[in-house]
Amino acid sequence: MSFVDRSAPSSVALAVAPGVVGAVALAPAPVSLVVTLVGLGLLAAGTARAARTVVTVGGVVALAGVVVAGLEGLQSGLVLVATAGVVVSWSTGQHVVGLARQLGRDAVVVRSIAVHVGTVTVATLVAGGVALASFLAVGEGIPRAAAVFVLAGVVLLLVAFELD
Amino acid sequence: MSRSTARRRRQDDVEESSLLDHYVLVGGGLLAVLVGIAAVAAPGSVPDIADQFGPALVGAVAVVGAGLAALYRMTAEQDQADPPAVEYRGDVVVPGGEFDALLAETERGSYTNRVKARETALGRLREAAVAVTAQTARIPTEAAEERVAEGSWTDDEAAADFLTNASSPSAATDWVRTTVGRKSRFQARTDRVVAELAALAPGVDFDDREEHSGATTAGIGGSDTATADATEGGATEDDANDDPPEAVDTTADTSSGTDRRTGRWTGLAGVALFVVGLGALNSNTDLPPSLVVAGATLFGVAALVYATDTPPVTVSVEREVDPARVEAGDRTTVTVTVTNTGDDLIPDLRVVDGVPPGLRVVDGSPRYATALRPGKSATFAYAVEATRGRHTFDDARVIVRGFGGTVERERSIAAEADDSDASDVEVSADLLADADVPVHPQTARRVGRVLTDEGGSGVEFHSVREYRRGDPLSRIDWNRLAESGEFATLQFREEHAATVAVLVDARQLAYVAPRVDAPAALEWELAAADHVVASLLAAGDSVGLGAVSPEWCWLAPRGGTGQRARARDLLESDPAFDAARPDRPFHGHIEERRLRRELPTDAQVVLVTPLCDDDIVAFARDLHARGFPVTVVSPDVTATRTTGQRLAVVERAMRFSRLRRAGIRIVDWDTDRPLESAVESARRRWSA
Repeated sequence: MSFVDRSAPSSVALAVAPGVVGAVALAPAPVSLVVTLVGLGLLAAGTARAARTVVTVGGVVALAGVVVAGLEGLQSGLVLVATAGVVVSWSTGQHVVGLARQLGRDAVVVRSIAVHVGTVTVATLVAGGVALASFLAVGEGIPRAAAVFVLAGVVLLLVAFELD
Repeated sequence: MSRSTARRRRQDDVEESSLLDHYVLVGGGLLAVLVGIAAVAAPGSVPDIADQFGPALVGAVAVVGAGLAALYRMTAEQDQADPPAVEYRGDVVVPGGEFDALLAETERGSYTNRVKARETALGRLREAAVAVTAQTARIPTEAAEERVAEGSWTDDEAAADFLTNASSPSAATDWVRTTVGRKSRFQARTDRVVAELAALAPGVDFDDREEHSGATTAGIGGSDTATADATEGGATEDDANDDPPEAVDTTADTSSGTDRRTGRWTGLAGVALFVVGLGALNSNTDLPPSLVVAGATLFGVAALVYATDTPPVTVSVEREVDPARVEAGDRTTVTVTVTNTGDDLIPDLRVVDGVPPGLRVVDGSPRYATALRPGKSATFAYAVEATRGRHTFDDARVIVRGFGGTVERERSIAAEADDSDASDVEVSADLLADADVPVHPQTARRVGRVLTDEGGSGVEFHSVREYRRGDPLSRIDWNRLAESGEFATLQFREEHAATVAVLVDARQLAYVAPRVDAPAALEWELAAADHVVASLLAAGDSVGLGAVSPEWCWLAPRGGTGQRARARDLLESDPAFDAARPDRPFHGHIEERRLRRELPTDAQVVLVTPLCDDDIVAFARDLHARGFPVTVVSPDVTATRTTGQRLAVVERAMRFSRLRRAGIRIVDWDTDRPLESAVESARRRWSA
């Protein structure tokens, strides 16, 4: 039995499925939907061939589709679902590539992938949900002054994260 | 059935850096975010600074931040553990692999290195060309060297030019070619030279060759079970992806453990920032909620990553081998159970079992990934094909990651020492064969089956001589007595026994195979040696056995059935014939002298070797020249997939020529066919 550092088809399916589910939320914005699906296709190909860069490029393209939908004024709830789907797919794709490189195509890895999908799905939906809930509570757009402070704070935290 | 438990090897966890190390940044960031939230929660509590800076500035800050993050992602390295290729037999190399490595070297690294590698590769090619030319044109080496230097050794001008000193393709041009992903001109020319050499060299025909299935050593007895075994239940797909690589690194990293950052999330927060910033750029007044929600979703993942810890490696490994004692070529199943012995959930646990280097995985995978709650266990199984000898499992490699997967802990989990036998696989050799193996006409003074040119008792008529007192009545020529009244005695050709020492090449260089997942040449050699010993003994010869190896192994020549058992015992279990490659090199001269001292003066030698290097040729010729007639039995374990492998085939053919010129007999054994047919065709060649 040879060692093949590719992903099993079932692993690829597990990685792409959340993105496809999320993409359904983009149905009101057909252009975005197409862009996102193309991105997910790239992501699937990259995952199957265990190519990290392709997975990331696919994820960025898929996210670009979501962002375009957001700019066109798609409902926040739908954007949340689509974003979560793309992020989970990208993250799972990376996870599957890691598994493929270390354990190969023939190893049993489903449980590890399922746990990863579950964790990231919950994290994205909770974070996005909190943001959405605060918007609904305020009832209008965020004042720009608040945006400046939040962004500045996030940049500082980001630098701290990357240095960590 | 054997059972073994393994315990966690304790070690200091590599210290994980903490966000608190950057408290100024973290504190400032959190403060700014809080002020922002206050501005949302209580409008008017924070002065509206946006009028002074404008939305463009907000967007610009975000985009610049995102750009930096993206840059960080592209330059940062994504790192993870790289477990050894345990599926393959350890240390088996494909003949010609070193030349392929050299060719790869001509396209890698610094310019100086490339040029140096080119010189070395050209040297090897010239050497082969000189040998082939000298052989085919039947001219001395010096004349052949001249022909190669002036480029007249072949009609193929491109190939001829390549080996003259003048015109090798420019290294600089090739650098450009390989950078844009094309085959270098050097590679292409090398291919051409090797093809030309193969065309000229006697007995080399690549088109005629089928790739060796090389799956089992079952072919020796003449049965054709090799292919059946290979396909049954094992790999079902036969696509190109299943081909093993030409070289594998099966050597495990010996360090007991490492923690490393995987860097897999690098830049995600930057993307989040970019999304929010884009929203700000696009709006004239307030931020639109949708993209902020999208950004928040991305930040949610980043938060998860940094909020969760990597659990400690609290894992025990239990391994069960069933059955632990099998015949060579049979399968045995290895069942591995991993248990989380700690108090923390392990969300991502990866295990690579320490398959012994001498065993090959034929079904399932010795690798596994799962998530384990405290106290829970998971089990996976795989099958290995048993090869001769006793095999001890290595430590299992365990890799643990947290939810975020930012840090990866890699550890070796060793088997417990109190019952070290328990996890071994013991395989008895099953090498059966019967065939008549021809030997040189050098004999001992005992009755045997080698027809001599001496007259005496026997079957075949030799001569007639004058009667001497004591000649047996049965050999008196009664016809002549009746005719002339003179007594005469008939002489028949005497049949003598031979003394044969079977020497098995078990140096490091005998651990070669046509594919990295095929049995090593040594396995074929042992099968052949067993076969030769058995058939010589059956014919009444007296047979000894020895190893050409850094490990001393010698069984003095004797006859009889007991000798068969003694030889079989050595072949099965002597450390000299271990399935794992010896660490020490073979020092030809010392070992050779020792062997010669042991050889009886009338002995002849059957040397079993894959013939994949020049030292063994010198060894054989030396023995032959010292009056021990040598027959070489050589299992063919070469392959023809790469340039280096094809060159190795040509070089092996040239070794045959050199041996034949010295008067040494050769049995070239294509391991896909039974040994008998190789012996038969060799015999036809000798008597021709």
